[in-house]
Amino acid sequence: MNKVIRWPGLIAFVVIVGGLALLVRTFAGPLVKSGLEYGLTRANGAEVNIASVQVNWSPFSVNMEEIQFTDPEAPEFNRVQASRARAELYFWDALIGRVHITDLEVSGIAMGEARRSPGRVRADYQRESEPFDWRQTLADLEIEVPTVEGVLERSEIRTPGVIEQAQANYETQREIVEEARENLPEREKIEAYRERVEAITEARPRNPEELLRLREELRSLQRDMRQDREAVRAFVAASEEAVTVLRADLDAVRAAPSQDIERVRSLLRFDNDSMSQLSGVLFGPKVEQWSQYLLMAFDFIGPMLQRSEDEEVKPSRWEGRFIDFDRAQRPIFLIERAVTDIRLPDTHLSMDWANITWQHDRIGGNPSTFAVAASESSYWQELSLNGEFALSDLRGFMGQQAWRIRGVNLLEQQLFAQNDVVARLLGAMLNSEGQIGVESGQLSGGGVIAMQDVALELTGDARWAQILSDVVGQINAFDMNLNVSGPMQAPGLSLRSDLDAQLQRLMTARLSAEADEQIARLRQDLQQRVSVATEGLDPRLQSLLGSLEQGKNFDDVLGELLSVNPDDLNIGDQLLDRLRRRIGG
Amino acid sequence: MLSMLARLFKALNAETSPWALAWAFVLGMYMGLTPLLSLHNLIILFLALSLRINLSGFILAWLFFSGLAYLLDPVFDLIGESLLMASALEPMWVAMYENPLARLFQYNHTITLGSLVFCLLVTPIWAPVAYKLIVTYRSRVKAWFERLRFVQVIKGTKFFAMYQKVSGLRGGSL
Repeated sequence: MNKVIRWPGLIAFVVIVGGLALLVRTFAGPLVKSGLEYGLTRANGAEVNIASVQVNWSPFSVNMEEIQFTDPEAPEFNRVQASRARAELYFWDALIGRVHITDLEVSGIAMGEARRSPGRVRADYQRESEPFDWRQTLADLEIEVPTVEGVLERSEIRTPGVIEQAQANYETQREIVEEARENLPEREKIEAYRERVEAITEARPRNPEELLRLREELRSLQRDMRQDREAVRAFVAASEEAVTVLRADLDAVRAAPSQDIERVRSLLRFDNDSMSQLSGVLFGPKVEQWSQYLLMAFDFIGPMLQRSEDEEVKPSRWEGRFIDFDRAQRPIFLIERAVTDIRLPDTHLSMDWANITWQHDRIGGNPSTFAVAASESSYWQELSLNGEFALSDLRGFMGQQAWRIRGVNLLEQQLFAQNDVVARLLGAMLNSEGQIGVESGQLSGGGVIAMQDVALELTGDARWAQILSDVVGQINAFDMNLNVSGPMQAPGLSLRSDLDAQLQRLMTARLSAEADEQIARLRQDLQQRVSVATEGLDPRLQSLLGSLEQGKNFDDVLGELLSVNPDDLNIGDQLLDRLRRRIGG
Repeated sequence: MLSMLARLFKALNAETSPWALAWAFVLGMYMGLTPLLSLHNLIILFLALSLRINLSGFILAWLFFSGLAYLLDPVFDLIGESLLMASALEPMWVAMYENPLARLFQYNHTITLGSLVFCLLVTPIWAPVAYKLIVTYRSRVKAWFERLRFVQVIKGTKFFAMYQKVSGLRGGSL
């Protein structure tokens, strides 16, 4: 035996291997801790800390304390943290890289908590999308409060201009009318025409020669009358145009002050663009915080999907490859049951999970499910959140979650504090419901957050903040429409709310009330100018109307006289009778 | 390294059993040609330490075959892939896949399986060849070798002094 066995070598081997095994068993906790921290940091994109890891061998389980995932977007905060986690799993499966956790308990889960020191972000971390910094928008809003003086300066009061224009128009029209008036025949001349026509028509020609003479005389007279009638018609047209222009100008002058006042009031409104984001500034960070809890399920799912995508390995002849003979169709990663305890301000919430995996085809197509069902408490009347997701070769990744929250009593809390402006929610009742779907890793959906019995308080030195603080107390209820979209690992939020419209209306009314006195003075001044202008223009219009009437009268008379046909003149009484019939009398 | 080479020469020239040296070369081949961090290499190491084979020969063979493995890896990959993809063997591979111990042996890795099978196939050839080489060396090459001029030169070097020191301690001779 001694010729074959080298006892010192055998003993050395046993000692070394046994020592190594003992070392691994003794320091399993720190070794697993280092491995987990390294792997999770890579997956998270930023530092992951685990305070301690304890490995129990029978039954095989891993206990972790104080797990913190740094938020790569904001390294001062944790994306998620848990005070304790315990996973019971199959040892031999774990040894060959198959994670089959039968029972997982995670307690003290919280989102967005501040870290003791900022976590390191990996250099190769690439953010999925540009974050929307609600706080930054407050500075970007540049809410401009218009002053009455400023508004008057840039409001281009148009009444004086309209008056000037009316007067200039009148002068132009007056010149045209006067020019036409110069060619207008005198009244005496018209009367003379009448007398001569009457004389001709009343004459009693006794013979054809006399009749021909009279006819020729009438034709000659009518030629003169036609010339004068042209001048009369030109005068009438000019007068009509002048009257039309002057009437329109007078209407414009009378309407100008009201239009100016309306314009001034419209300029005293707050800017629509800046006001449309005010609800986002006030409630955006809070909604984002609430959404983190709402979308927490997807934070668990995200890394798993990443893992499933990472599985493909490029084969190399120099490195070889592992060939998969997994015909038993057991999932590589499965958590049969998990209970997560979420820490909320002043209370806890329990969330139950089942069948967490990314290989749902291997568990008979059963989806992963999660649900929170909380009975009525002092914090809410009803709270339910549930969802499911499944990843299959045929349909890809599909999932959805729905929530319904009723009667959440929001306690006093700070909404934001920046640049001396502090906004606080003194209290409110929150109701919310909605649904979010996932397809191919992309989220879409949203919900409504209805706030009732709202009590808001805002303080600040800025002028807009003072106005806002005066009106914000009048807000009693509003709705916020939350829209969620984008990749699952970095969802984008957008917020629309009727709060903006309410605030804009109230702030504008407040501003308008401040300006009432000055606007009244402006109105009085403009009305006085208009009165002076109309006092001058009204008589001129009447004068024009008189001239127009006179011109029309001349035109009528000339028209009557020209209606006599020379050929109708006849011998004897016949002509007189006909003429009388023609001219009516 | 020089010391280890000197010890190998000593073993070659001494009364060490040719089989002890031949098996050292065989086990060194396993260690060198197969991926180092494999569970089966723990068994090889166990055999190398606990059996009375020549450790210097084992280590030098291991180093030599490790260099050779870089050239042969694509061949091992091809062998492993052919075996793992063979439909006749598939039931066995599938059954082994559910066995954690088999998985720890990384049987489904192409180069690991290919190199191990290669070594198993080559062992029946390599062991007698190594034995024959050692015997031949001792009977013919040694005498011819000592007559060579450069050997005479080497005898005056530091390496030879070290070799003699080792030989002297262990009572060996050239």
